[in-house]
Amino acid sequence: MTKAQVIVFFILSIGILLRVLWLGKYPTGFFRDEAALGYNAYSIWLTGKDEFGLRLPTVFRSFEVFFLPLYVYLTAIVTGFFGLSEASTRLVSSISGIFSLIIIYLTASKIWNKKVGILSLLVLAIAPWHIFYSRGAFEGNLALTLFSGGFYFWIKFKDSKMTIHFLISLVLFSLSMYSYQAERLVVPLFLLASSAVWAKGLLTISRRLVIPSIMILIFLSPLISLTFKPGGYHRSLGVSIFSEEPPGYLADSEISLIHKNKVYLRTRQFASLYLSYFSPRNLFLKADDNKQRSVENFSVFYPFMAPMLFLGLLNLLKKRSRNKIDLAFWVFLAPVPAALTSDPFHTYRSLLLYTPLAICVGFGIYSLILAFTSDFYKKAFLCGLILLSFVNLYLFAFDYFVLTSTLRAREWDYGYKEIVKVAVAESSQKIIVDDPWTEPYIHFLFFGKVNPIIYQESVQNLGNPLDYYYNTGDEIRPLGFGKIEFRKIDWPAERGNSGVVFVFFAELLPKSEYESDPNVQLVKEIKYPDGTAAYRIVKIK
Amino acid sequence: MGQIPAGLSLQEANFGLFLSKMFGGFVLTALFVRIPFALLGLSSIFLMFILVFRVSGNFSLAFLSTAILGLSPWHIHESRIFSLGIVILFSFVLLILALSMVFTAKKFVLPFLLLFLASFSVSSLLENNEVRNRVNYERESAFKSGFRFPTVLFSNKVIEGVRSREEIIFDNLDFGNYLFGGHPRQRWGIEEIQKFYAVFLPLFLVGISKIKFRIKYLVLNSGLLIAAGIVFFSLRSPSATLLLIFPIALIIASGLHFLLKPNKKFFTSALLSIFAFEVFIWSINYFSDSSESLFSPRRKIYQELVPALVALRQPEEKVMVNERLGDPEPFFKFYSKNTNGFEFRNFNIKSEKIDADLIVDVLPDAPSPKEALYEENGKWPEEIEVLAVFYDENLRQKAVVYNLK
Repeated sequence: MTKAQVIVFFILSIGILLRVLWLGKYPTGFFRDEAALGYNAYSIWLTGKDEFGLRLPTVFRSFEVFFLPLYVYLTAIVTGFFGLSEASTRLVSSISGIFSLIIIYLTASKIWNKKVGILSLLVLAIAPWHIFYSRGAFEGNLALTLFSGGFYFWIKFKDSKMTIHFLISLVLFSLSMYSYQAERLVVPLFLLASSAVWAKGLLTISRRLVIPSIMILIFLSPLISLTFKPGGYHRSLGVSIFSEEPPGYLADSEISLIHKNKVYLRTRQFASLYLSYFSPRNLFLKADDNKQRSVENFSVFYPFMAPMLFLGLLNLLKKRSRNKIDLAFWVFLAPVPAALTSDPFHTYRSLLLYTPLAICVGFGIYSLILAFTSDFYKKAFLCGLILLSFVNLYLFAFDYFVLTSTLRAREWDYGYKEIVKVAVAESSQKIIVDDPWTEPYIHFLFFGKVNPIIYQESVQNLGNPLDYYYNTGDEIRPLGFGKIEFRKIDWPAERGNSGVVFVFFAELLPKSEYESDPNVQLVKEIKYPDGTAAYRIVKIK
Repeated sequence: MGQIPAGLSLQEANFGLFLSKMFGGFVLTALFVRIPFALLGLSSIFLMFILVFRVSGNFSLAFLSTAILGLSPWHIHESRIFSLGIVILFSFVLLILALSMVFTAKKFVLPFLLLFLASFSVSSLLENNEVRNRVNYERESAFKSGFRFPTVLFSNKVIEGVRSREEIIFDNLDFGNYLFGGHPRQRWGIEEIQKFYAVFLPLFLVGISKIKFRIKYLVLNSGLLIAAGIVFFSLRSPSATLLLIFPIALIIASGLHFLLKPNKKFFTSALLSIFAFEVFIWSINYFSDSSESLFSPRRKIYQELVPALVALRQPEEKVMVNERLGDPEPFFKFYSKNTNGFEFRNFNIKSEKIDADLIVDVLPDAPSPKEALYEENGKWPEEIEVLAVFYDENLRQKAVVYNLK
């Protein structure tokens, strides 16, 4: 093995370890979206239908999120072999993360050289955002890997002009569009921009590309047709900046040139949201506002990488080559879907951005090394870099595995594994669950490993999915199944119902409600890792 | 200048009261309080021109730097209020003018860089409550989770100290902070204002790569010195960080200077058109008083409340003002010139007997039932006769003038 191969292998091993170790245990808790992906995968494997009973859907309706399907179908195969569990649900994302490492090495090596490839690999292997998203069931991470693969083969195609590279690239891009919403916008924009710049080259070989292009369009036709149904646009519309008035809009202002000028205000709003994705404060310091999507004390990249990112981006814009132009398109198009939604700095929706930024950081490090003329200083700089990387990774590991797991367990819907185990084991006529802050039904399905056939027979109020599945974005939830109900509990009226088990989010049932009442037995109080009460399970004697 | 921005800050009120001791009560107007800073702001623009011309020998670059500085919303706003930032900016530009040989020499880059690093390191190690609390919180959380390794290896004052310094640096590296009044991630407790026009961003990026010769070292050296100060003193607010406008304006001007070449006419014309449009829009917004931040220190309420109270008050009547209005005394002294017979303290008419002819009290938005002026049906308590009500946007409460029946 060459020295470079040894280094690549070593970095890759670290990357794999960080993405695979204790996958079922960390992050602590299991988010509702993960449970939905996992349970629907399980249901598909066993019955070919999703939780609503629709056979092989094009999108998965759960919580009106309308997940793109690829993650679920791949996870179905995994759960078929390994059973339904947190680890098996997260495995596809974890493996995607590992493949991303290989792809970034190949891509950066192709655009620049192997040294930049190794540095980019190092940056991604230890990047907080990538470790975080590779350890949860995130379909966006799968989409990112597929897009990255598509990009790699696209730039290979531009150099080789081989039809097979073109076809692989388009297949991967299409699969990414079947994985996450953002890619549905970015892929077409990227291909249009890249093709426009290379129009002359493409025209010379256009005949060979017609059949593969038609095949891909046919492959994408179910997705394209869905675009015009609520199932295809409900989610995007619900979170878009167009769903509410722009900031600065004043309906009763006399200065209509500004305060009622929606074109100006929207442009400004979009510009501020778009630029926030390149803001050093957000990339290196202030993580995603949503605590479920970030790690204590860390944002996307480590702070010491800031000057390197700056150098890398500067180089991208200054010294152009065909591949760098494509990388620039990737960088500047990636945040567009996220910038069209009103949530500021949503790392998940802008996930596509961070791989090319990691490549830029890799190149930035390389250009800094080159700036030193003496070998001694080059080595000293490299040692310093490795030391900084190690220290930051060490602190990240503590903050991720200890602090975040302790302090953000609530954001990850922690507690349901135990709730299901305890509540179901308790003999009772009925179990009623009152938790308005998550989707308790999906957790009961997942952790109870409820047979989908039995669920679909006993579920209340879902009706025939063909009547509503793609056609409406209205909230549709099961009221219950079997002896389990999910609703608000009228405690004063229901506390006398003997034999019923009530599951409360802890804040909804103070201790005084059961400590002083001999008829109410506390079955279990489930606590978060920091010791605060999460849920209370009580039974009426 | 006396009207925009509307209302006075506590600093302005106190400054006015200080000036009135020397010059008499006629200076107790917003205009007089703000004039010194306007003059310093104007002077800083002239000094900028002299400095850049002296350093670069290029008239158009000097003119552009001055124009960028003078037209920036940041500089305009700070010149129109009580601003220590403007005082420091003026002094700083004067200092650089006097020591331009130092600030424009390549050999001083390293010392300034070392100064910055020293500032970063020393301030990281200084004790402060925020760091201490954070460390304790993290260690306690780790212990609760069952983590049994020594937490000092992962969470200690050095690590948190470094993080707190990084926070200061990156807080000042945000596009929203400079171009969009903090949007979309406004900082809590900091007055966010638009500092530059969005069109300055491409000019800034061009300027970074096109900045030349002694101006380059001027920007570097002054930038490092300013950054050292910002990090050491944990500066975040627009006034406190105003010095940054100096190197940033130089870079933007360098970018614009590069683009104002015959072969880039179309692109430059487009940029200048956008620039003119943005100046126009900002001016309308600013001078219609529509652009105030959530955390503006200016208390507009006193502009209306105090004159109204003075009009309602009969001679020798005793007035009780609740301190929950937020430092009312300096404002009352400023606007009414004479607060004999006024008493300022916290009180609750439900729990104590108030001996006053007129009372100025508060009722927060979404009040708790324990509030003195709270009534379930939205009416006022029967024991009071309300004479006037004013809404305080800053503290999200009503200021109520009443007397007891």
